[in-house]
Amino acid sequence: MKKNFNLPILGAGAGLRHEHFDQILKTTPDFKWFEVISDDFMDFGGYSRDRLMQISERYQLISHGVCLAIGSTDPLDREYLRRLKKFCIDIGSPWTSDHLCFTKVDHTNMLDLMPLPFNKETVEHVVERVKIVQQELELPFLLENVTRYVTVSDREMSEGEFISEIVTRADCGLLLDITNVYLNSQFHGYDAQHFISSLPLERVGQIHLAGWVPTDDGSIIDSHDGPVQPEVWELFKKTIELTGPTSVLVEWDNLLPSVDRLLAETVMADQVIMQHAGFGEGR
Amino acid sequence: MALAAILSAFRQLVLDGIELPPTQDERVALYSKKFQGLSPEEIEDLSKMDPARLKVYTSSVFMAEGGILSTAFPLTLAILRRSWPGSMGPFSPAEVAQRVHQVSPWRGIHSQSLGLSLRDFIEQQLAPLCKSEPELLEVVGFEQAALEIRKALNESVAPQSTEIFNQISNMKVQELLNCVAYVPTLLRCCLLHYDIEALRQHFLKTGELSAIALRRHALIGARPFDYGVFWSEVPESVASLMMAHRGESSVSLTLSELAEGYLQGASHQSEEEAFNSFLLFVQELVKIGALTIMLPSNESSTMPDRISV
Repeated sequence: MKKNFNLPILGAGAGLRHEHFDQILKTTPDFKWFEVISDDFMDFGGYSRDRLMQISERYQLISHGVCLAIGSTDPLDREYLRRLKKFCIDIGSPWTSDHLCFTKVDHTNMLDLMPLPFNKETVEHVVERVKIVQQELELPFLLENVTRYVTVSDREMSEGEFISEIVTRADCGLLLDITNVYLNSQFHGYDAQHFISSLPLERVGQIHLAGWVPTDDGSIIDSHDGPVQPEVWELFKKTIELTGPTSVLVEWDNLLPSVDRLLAETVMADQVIMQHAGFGEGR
Repeated sequence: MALAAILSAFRQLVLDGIELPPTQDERVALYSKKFQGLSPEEIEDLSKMDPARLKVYTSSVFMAEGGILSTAFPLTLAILRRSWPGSMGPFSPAEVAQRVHQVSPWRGIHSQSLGLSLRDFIEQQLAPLCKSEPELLEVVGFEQAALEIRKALNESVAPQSTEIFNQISNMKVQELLNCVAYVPTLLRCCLLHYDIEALRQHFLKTGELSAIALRRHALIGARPFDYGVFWSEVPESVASLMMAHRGESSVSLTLSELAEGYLQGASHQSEEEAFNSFLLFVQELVKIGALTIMLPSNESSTMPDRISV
């Protein structure tokens, strides 16, 4: 396998949010690409959907989901996969991704990205489901490592081994969220760089960077409500040296910045790619 | 399958409001009783999870669900805030979401299904409150209908702009009455006993709840070509007729049938006055996206593409 899970390298893009639609359509700022939360659009029509389709005529859009629930023991929703596939075709997304977690169980929506136990049974379960997902979607599919505030179980394997075994055996890509790795290293006391080095980096088709604002008591959660923090930029530089040029996405979902401020974050990410991974194309 | 039992236990620890003891030994004792399908090793693993860290998930889930409810059901939540039972603790959207979960967990992935859970919660847990706020169930139904309209998929037959009015005003009466009309699947009807639209308008302007007037009427809501959700008051006979003709798979509705429903029981001094009144009514329905008129002479308007704006 070539690097980047054989996916095209788009440079740095940003998460697309409803609040920015009108300005993006009006001023067509210099973003290279946008990531779209598929679950926010694929089952809906009206204003936002129509605006999204207009944006898809001007920018490369990449689908990213939050509701697939790949680790859930509830039946895999094939109808959901068919709708997701249609959505990817509609917006021209060359790949799609979702999270290595569960978001529902006992037919109850849990709304958040819940951590899975790191054990062989879960590996078998997720690998089988990812294979079905890839068959149904007929598109490259990436799994993203999640932030986790607890460890459900790591008596059989570490998180790094868990992720590596799943993406390798399911033959899917890895969406490496650098912020999630950094936060988990803080929560669970491990070396973030060592963790990243242990992953099958040739499968990294996309990278996520996100920021946070510490809460009043000084604690941190994966809140996506601020600029990317210096510690994460540092980890990103070291990672991109290992992966080579890769499509990178800046996520900023809450306390949204202006379009210009968001663009500035992607410019910074592009500069890191150019300086640390020999990415030859300037803006 | 042990995995299913572990994930189910995790769900209960996060969502079901179980009081988690501070020490691991106490948690082992509690989980052993509560999760009898799990092995001692699995119980031990779960007991290692710090309750404070689990609460991060609990807060995140119910804050987010509360946010969804506040956005989609602002009037309902304002009424709940006004009359929230003291026995349920301090009011907050997150508290409402948690209470909703206990009665009717969110089964789907869209806000529409969370709305159905909210309704279940109100019906099952807030019966005394519904007596003091008798409009509450109608309000939640009205906001649910608005949400379903707003979120509905685009339909192959698009709503029309007001440009169509010039064309229909030049048509002969019989020609117009013979026209077939498309009623979108997203159309919703609310049969109301209170003036909820007036309450909503006042709330939007002031952020305050006004006194609500008793008024039996029917509203139909739809989404016009320039978006938003709009409502129009219609005779109940028309509301039933239109609901029965929603979507492409239904039997076609002619304007003549619609006129019959509209004029039922209405008194007009002349045929001309009746027709003019009906014409205005049709224009209103087109304006709110509740009706698309198929003009026989113009092929492009018999099955128009979506209008891009």
